[in-house]
Amino acid sequence: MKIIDTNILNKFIRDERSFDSSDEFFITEELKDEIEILKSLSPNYRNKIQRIKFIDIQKDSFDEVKYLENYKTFLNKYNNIVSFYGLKGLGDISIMASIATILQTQRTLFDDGYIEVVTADGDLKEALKGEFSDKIIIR
Amino acid sequence: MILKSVTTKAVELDDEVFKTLLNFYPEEKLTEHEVFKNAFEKGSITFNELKDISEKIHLPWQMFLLDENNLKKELKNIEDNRLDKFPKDLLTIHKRKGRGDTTSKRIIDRQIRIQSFVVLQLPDNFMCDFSGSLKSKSIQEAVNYIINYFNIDLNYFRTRDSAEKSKEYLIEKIQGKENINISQGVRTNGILPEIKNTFDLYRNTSGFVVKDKKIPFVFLPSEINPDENHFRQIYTLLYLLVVIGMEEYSHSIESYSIKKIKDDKKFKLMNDVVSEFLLPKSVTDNIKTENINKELINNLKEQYKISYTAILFILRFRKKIDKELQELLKLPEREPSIFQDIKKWFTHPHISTSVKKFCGDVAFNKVNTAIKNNSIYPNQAQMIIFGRFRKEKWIEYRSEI
Repeated sequence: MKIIDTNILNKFIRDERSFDSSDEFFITEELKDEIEILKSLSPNYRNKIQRIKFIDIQKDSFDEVKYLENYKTFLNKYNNIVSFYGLKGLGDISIMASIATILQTQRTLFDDGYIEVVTADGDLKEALKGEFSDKIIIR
Repeated sequence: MILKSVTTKAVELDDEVFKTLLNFYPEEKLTEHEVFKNAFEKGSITFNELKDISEKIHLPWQMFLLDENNLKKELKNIEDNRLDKFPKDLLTIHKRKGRGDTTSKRIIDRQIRIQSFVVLQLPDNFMCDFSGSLKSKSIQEAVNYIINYFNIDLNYFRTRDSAEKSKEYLIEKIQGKENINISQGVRTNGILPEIKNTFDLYRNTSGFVVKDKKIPFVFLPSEINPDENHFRQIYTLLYLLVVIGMEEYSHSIESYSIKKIKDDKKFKLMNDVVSEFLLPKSVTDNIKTENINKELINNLKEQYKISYTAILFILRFRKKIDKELQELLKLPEREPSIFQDIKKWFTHPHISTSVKKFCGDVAFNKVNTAIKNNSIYPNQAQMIIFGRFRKEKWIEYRSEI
């Protein structure tokens, strides 16, 4: 599975970054509303949006408890990339919490052999390397 | 405190974090909210409850998951910003008597957050050259400078149909150079938290300035304080403009009295500038004391868009009336208005209209440009304009801009 952050989502939708035509993408719950907005902005985005799924943490098959535990851990551990005042980094935490939860409990649900994160955010890349270096692909 | 996923035990959260966070705006008494009272009693809260209540009280749910040290760091940042912008004693920020005794720190923090964002959008060498420009000017020079700098047509200002329209004209002119932002209180579209006691709290604010070298922010209470009518807000707006022009940011008003103004030279000078702007001395010089009555004052009020009480003060200062006559002409003290009686506030404007009013024109345009350029993340934009994440309103807002 390929997980993308906000930045890449916007670039992909606006044709500023291309991917293989068969690629599907996952986004975290925080970005779900963005999809609704993108849909309303232009009908041209609809085709691309069909290739995007979101990780629903409240779905029965997803371990929400584990997710919240992971969220809390990463939120406090990576306080250097999170700022409530500057309102930055919460999306990064949700990506890390989602990956950790999938790896710990539900790998089979997304079993296409790998987890890949596509991001242009240097801080997130660093954090992902530190946490999951050999378990995921970071691009 | 246990954070539950529906019914399963999930994460153990720190009770102290809850208490510290809920007491960050002590005047809002958030700990007394039913949801939190129950949570403390039961020792648990569900994730959905936490998300819902966080949205209502405009605090991100994620903050409740911080450990104590990280929370303190976050809160210290906000407090440091406040102290950087305001005198230490926040109880005395340009307020008039309302129903409580403190200015809403929530509004202050929201305005600081919006201002911080706007400042980042401005070039490094951008400065508000109006700041400090009134220093060492005489009263008349200062008035003329304000009129010329902001290109204000005094005749146009005075001949608007209502004080509200005159106020709007001034607001538009003052923001014309995009180096002063004027934001106003709103009670529509949930821009500010609407919890039990908040509206009594908001009405303690009659206005304040959030200082900044690049773009000072003026805040007027507007909808959130029905005790501040448009005439009073015009006076406040000009007074706060003089605060910026003289860079007298530590100045605050708790109450007006002749003695207080006489004893404080700067306070007197600032009031003299506003008085001369609104009701020039040349006008009152031609009024004979024996002709001064309530009708004349009411006529002056409508003609010059200045409040009845302010006219009485000015006439007293200009020695047109003595204390006895001032007392005689004074309007009876009235109780602060009750919100429920003021039906006109219960309108349903577009979300972008409420945001524009609360953010101010300059900030509104900067935020929208950043949203359209994708130079701001949606969550950041929402926290700036709404003070929280709001899915449905964000979609609505995006379609309006």
